[in-house]
Amino acid sequence: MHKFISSNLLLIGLKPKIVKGIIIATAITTWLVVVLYHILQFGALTIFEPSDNGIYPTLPGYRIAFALFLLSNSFFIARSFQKIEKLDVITLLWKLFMIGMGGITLILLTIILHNTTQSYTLARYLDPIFFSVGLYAFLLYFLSAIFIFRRFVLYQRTKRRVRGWTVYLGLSGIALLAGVFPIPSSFTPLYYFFTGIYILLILLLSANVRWIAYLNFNQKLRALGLFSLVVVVGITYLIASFRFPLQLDIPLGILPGLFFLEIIIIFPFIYSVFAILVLFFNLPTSSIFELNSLEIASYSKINQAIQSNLDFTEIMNSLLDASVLAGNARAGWLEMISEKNGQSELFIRKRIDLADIKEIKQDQALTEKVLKEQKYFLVKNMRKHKLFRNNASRYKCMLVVPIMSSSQTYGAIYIVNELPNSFEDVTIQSISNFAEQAGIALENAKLVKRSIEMERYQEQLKIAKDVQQQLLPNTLPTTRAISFNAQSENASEVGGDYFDVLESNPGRFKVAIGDVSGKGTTAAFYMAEIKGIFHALSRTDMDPISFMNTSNQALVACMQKGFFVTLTYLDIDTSKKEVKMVRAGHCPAFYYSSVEDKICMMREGTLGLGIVNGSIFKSYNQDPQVIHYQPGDMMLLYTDGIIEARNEEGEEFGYHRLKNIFTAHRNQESEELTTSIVNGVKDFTHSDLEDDYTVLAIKFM
Amino acid sequence: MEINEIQESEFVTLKPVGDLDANSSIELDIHIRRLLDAGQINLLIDCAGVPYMSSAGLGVFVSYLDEFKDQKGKLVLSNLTPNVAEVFDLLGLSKLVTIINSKEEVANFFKG
Repeated sequence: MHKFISSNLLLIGLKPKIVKGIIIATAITTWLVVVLYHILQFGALTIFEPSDNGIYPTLPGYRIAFALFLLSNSFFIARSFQKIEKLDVITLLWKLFMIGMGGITLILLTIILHNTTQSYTLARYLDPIFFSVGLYAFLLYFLSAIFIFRRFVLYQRTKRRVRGWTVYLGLSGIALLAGVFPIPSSFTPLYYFFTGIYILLILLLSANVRWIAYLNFNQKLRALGLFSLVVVVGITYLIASFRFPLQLDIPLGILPGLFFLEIIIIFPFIYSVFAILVLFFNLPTSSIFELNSLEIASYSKINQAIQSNLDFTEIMNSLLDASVLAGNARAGWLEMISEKNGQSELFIRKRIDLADIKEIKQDQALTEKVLKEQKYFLVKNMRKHKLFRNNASRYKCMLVVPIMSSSQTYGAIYIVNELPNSFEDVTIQSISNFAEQAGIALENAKLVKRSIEMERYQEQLKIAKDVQQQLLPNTLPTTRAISFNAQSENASEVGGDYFDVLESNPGRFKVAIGDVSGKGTTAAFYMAEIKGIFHALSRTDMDPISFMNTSNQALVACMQKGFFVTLTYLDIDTSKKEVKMVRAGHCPAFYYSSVEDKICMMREGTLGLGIVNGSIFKSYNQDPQVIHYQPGDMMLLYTDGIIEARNEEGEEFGYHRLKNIFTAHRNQESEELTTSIVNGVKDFTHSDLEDDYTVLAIKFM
Repeated sequence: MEINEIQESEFVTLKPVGDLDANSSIELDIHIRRLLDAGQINLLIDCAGVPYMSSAGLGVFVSYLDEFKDQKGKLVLSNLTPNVAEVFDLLGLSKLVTIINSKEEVANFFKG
């Protein structure tokens, strides 16, 4: 209602500050007027005798003034407590208590003053003032209580609660009017009926004590104490309100708002009693509630620790903290499986020393046990357990819970207690939940890390592929005398096949085709090495045998054990129509002689490169094969990816199929031959090739 | 890959079964490494059960050439399937690795 008035005042263009001023001014003025009336009425005139219908005669305008006094002060107090935003139960109750104590102090002071006043005449004028002060203290205390408790009642407000409160205020307003403008005593049953309804409504409102659930044990205890004090102060006021006016010779019945004053004390008392009872009965269970909320907090703490990419130790620390807390345990520790040796190791411990841990475990591999069984392990009473009977430490109850995800085992949580049988099913469940949460989180963290690494790796592979693409020639030379064509593909991002053609002098061509054992990045690096060697050596006038010896020496020095390179090297002189060839472990070339119309395989060769050192390699040297070609002759070089390509039945493509395709295309251009071979292999395998492959055809003209 | 190990009086026979490719050759490598580290320097590898050998498989033998020589041990291969024999031959490994097929000759080789 005060809001209603305030907003109306605001509507007629007044600022909130002015509205406040008006309310305060009215409150003070009306109080002063009431004090004045009291002085006149009790001090000067002393009209105390009630008429026949029980209503005291009063000075004209007194009732109106008193009504205004009550109303304006109600607004004033309501406004003072209107802006409580955060519900701080303890602070609010403390404030109320202080208001009460302040009032009581004032009343005591007036009693002392009254008793020490010697002059009768002075007392006649002072007593009504004392009375008014006491009246105001009473009003202030109970109205404050009402509007502070309003905040409690409307905690987590719903429409129904707000409506209930509005009705309560409305009824109080009616009580005020009924008190100020007296109804003859024949209407007493109506008063009883009204009071009944009023109390019923208060009982309904007082059931709203939801805020209690959000207090912890300590806060509940303090709230309980403060509510009790509030009640004690309230009772003090009641006693004072009976005795003090009598002492001052002022009949209470003369007060026009007596009914209102009587009725406003009901709500604070009933609500306090309700709150005290609920607080009292909630005390024993509050620790469980606290535990649950701590558990929830721990959950989110573990999650946060993981999501914010905090280090592993921090995650494990919160896990152990949460477990010790949830288990109400004396101590605990955490063991992790070491990535180095697969053994469990103590990771962190809480409130326990190493000697005790050793004593408790009795050399049992418990972490391994729970991880293997994928289930917690509980020793209810170690003294009665055959494995732990010798444990001389003060701990008698132990719980071990595995930390694992669906694919990985991490470690185990241990919690211990001095009392046997102290871990309940609920506790075990909570800790298992923690461990599971942590396990999933660790797994996720690992996956994320791995995918980041994979991404980086892919990125690097892409770079490697680009680099490697540049290592292989884009186009091969074609002259009137000779034409080259090659096709090459890598099974993985980077491959180990190498081919190159270089015109060292006009009409002089050096050709290399090679394959590094194995696939992937390592192979690709060796391939780059070969390119370097080839480009360096083929520009010189080095003979093919020396070329191989030098290459072997260079590769033996740099290659890892178990890796080797197969290479075929050609030195073609178109002016002499001569080909010199050395095969170092590589797949033998096919040669088509147009004169004989025959394809033969050139098997002569030496060891692969990088297998044995220089002197041994040299001991296996063979003279290069020399071919004097005729126009129309063709040579086919390739890597083992062609020969070893397999179909669904596991059958190899083999030399004979390659030779057949060569035969079919022997009179065509080099490009047609290579294309036919690649298509032939693909038709054969019906799938992508598993190995790198290269075909290189040379057509002599 | 399955690798059977048979302890003979003078040597150990390993019988790998299956293709020797990039993956399975690692197992063979580990096996040979273990035997060498245990001081077993005379090895016969019976390749009858190996239909295919990739360059990585060949690499295993290549990588042990020096070591057997240094330790004065003997590495013998036998019963190479035609495919594998061809690969050995082309690479020139048949010149570096002892390949003996008859049992008596193997026994004599290790004795001598």
